[in-house]
Amino acid sequence: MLDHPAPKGFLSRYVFSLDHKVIGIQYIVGAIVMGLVAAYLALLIRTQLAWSGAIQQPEDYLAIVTMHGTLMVFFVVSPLLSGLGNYLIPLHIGARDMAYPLLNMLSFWIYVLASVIMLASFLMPGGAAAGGWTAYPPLSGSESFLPGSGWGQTLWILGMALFITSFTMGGLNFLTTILNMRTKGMTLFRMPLTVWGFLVATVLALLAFPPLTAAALMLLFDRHGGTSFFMVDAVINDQLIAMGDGTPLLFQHLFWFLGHPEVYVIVLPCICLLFEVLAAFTRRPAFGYRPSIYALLCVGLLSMIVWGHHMFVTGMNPWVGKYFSIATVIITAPFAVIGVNLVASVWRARLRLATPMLFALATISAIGFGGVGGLFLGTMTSDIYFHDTYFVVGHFHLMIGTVTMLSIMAAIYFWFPKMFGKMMSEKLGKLHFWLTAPSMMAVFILMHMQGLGGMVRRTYDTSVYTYNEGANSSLTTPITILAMIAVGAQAIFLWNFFYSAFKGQPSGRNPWEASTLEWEAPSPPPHGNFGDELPIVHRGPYEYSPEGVDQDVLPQAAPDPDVASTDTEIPE
Amino acid sequence: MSTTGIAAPVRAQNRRVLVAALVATVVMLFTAFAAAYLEHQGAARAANKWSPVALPGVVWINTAILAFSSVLAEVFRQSRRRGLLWGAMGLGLVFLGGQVFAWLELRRSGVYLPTNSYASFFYILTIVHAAHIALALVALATAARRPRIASLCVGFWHFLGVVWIYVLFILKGL
Amino acid sequence: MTETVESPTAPDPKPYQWNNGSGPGGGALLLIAFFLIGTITVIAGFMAGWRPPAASEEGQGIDETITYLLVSTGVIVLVGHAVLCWFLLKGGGTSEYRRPSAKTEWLFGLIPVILMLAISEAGVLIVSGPVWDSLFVEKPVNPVRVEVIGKQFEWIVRYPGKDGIFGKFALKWVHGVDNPAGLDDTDDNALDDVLNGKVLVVPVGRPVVVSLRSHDVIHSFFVPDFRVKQDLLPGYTTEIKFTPTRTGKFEIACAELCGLGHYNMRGEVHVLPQEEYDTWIRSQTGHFGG
Ligand code: HEM
Ligand SMILES: [Cu+2]
Ligand SMILES: [Cu+2]
Repeated sequence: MLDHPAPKGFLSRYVFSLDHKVIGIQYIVGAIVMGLVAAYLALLIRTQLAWSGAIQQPEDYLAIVTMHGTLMVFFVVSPLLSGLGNYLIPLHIGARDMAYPLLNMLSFWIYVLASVIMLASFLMPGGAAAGGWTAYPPLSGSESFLPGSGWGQTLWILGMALFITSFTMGGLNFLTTILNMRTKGMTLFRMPLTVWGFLVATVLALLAFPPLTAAALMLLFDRHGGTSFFMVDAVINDQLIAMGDGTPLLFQHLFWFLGHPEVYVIVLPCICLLFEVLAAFTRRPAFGYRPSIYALLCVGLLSMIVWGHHMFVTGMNPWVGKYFSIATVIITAPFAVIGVNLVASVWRARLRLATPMLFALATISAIGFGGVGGLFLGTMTSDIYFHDTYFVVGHFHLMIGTVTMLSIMAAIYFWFPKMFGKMMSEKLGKLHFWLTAPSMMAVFILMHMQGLGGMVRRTYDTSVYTYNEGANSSLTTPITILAMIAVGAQAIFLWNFFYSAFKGQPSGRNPWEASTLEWEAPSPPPHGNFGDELPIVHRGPYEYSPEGVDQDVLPQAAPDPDVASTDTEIPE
Repeated sequence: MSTTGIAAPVRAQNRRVLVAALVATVVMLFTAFAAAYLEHQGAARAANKWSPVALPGVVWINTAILAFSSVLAEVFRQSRRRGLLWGAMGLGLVFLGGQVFAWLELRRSGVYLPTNSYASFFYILTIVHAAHIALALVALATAARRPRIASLCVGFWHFLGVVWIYVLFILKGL
Repeated sequence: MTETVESPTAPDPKPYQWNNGSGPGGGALLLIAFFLIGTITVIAGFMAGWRPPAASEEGQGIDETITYLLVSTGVIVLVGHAVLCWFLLKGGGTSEYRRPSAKTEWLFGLIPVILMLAISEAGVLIVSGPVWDSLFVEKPVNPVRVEVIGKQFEWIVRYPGKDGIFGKFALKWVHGVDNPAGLDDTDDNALDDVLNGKVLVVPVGRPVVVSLRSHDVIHSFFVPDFRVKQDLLPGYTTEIKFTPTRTGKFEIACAELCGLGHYNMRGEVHVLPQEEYDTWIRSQTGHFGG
């Protein structure tokens, strides 16, 4: 039934496994490890800002900020989603594994290699890359501008190149698997929304990463081949340094052509999986399944043509700027559809407030705040003021930090029983929730306030400017303390995760009484997922409280009950 | 448990999606380079600094070789005569050698990677393309033994030929 | 990890029982928490303390956009949270449930589309468009022209001098305090150009057009009180315009990461009454004595 037989030895079972479930868990654990590093860096940032003791020098601070951003986006959140996708997609669509298990394993190990290279860059002369996670040249192009732009930056480029390779391999797998490996009856419009989220995100990633690869390659040539794609003659200490006459803005275009879709690559699956959690804990079908899918497709499409909103103050042609602004704020429309559908999914709910549900509800709130913040930055004139202030930092942390983290937490608590056959502790889960969600939201909402006050990001010491005195600086210490709570609370999660994986209460096959295919498999699913026969899908993914049927839920794989359900169309 | 593996039609479909997605990423990659090239050219022309260098003549011979290689590969695809495939791959190798020759030729005439932005683009585009050709040669080599993937590999080979024309178009036509 | 002895048809060994301990109360608590965060945010957003009062005409325009967005999106966030709270408190109770028709679902999709398109595009085109045009499209009337140069990690201000024309410059001529701006000392127009450390002195009430260039990396010229910000790109010249509305001293910050001293790249704008400005500028001598 599978190309690869069930593994025998320890190595082939847990380390170089071809099984999508093991690779998924490997990704999640790997991302948790990198997450610990990145969260530690976040606390270092906050300590420097709140109690600027003499421990960090500016070069340390900038390297820490840069690596925190890079690690969080590419080495924590992205691989967490790779992990969830790997684990869930085949189970969700009724497949025995990914289309290309070997590619899958390679993709994970290349990610590990990339992580090691990124971490090693701290040990390089000059320290890790320090030019920001956006790595704008000329700053990132030459050591003479910034010590971290030496070897640290070279390793950064290398690590990113490997990460892109790994992510592309994973993406190819996701795409083929979703398109071709669906079980009988699983039409596209019967797929759970989570799978839709991954599908759109994967297409975006495959299209958006190559330009970043091009940019990274050109930057590498500029640094080590003497070319001047992005570099421009400069005067340093009265010395004219000939670097040519490149166009620095070109890098920004290429970077943001990836950078903006990348945001959606990590946010869309997170938002989509909320529908699934909500449906299971409200015992209601997700509201607006099809409209949500179309909205999703619109968001994906629009996200490819709005990258210029990161460049309003670069001196771009004013008409181009206007275009980017007009196009950007259109995105709020499909996003609002998804938001309204999320809220409406709770309508007349029969609530079960388990931990995953709490996280899912908090994520809706975070989407609200994060979404409207985007409007301030997408509108061209207000962005003139907010660009590169803490408003931006607060905004993107709400979207790609809080929405993703809270929603991934919801996902982990929700699918943990499937992964390990054990329940996570509800008590600890709730404690974790109450310590994490409000503090995280508060941290990043307060950063918006500092942005309203004009506080500039990536600044080692904000007290240099007198306009930061008063309102702005009065928030710095509270933010730091809240951040410590938010990060510290993850210890509870870690304990809960690893302890429950071994000692948790047995969960059984379908503890949440949910409807999608993965719950048909035993927990944890065996090699090949579904026993001898693959399940056959008879209906859409969220048939909770079906009409005219005396049943709480009609699972996708259950044969039709006596009374016809509302969705009896024959699979295309 | 039965051990039939993924059904053959699904497998074929998988391969098609995989190659289509690969083609899309390569297209995006070279589109990015083309955009970069245009941007640079515009800026440099505005400053009167745009100075394209004459491409070494061997580039045109290489083009012919690659085209002929595609023809051989196509005949192989239809007739499945392996000798043709080896011929196509041999020509692919000759193409790579020819590209190396072109780089050396440019060097001899004093045009280095950093000489000017046209030269930089020439080198980066040809190097990236050559890297793809090298990988595709590996794919073609596997096609000899696995007839099922032969068509796709040959298709990808044609595609890289088209990309080469595109590269030439960027460098000469834009 | 994925090994199991269970067969899919075997009954669960000890099925986990959903325990409905926390009723809708917990949900209310939850949403009230977020509702509070929201309300406090929105109110705080309006508090004057966060932003120094705008000191330029363009800044007032930008503030209008910000206020517009605070109000419109504030309402959206509050209403959204209120509805969510209400849904959670109310619950639905029965398992008897009529699902919304496809029509209802599409309708509920249409409403947010229209609403958000109206709010956001009105913000861009109606509220913010004129300010953008006045910044970048319209020709300023009788402007003061100055140049600000960014380098790691300070600002240099240059005035055209008595002839009103900026002289030629090039990076190769930059030399310490002798010639920090890289002026061409053979160019007559350059001889009387005035350089002025880190302080940009401008008159009140007149548009000021600042051309910006950089000697090394990208910087960004940011005056929080004026609400304007513009990048400096090495190899290029960019421009920003503002019209100060009151006299006083304001700070210039660098907003784009430019190296180790980025945090310390502070400059000042001094806005003087026109007469004082005139006296001041007349008293300045050219850097090369012209
Ligand atoms: C509680 C957790 C976190 C805290 C306290 C935190 C704190 C910060 C702070 C204060 C900065 C700005 C530093 C500066 O501009 O000077 C920053 C930058 C950043 N953070 Fe976080 N962060 C957290 C979690 C995350 C997460 C989950 C992500 C995931 C995407 C993330 C992504 C980034 C990025 C991309 C940057 C920009 C780096 C740059 O400017 O180059 N952070 N973080
Ligand atoms: Cu963006
Ligand atoms: Cu700076």
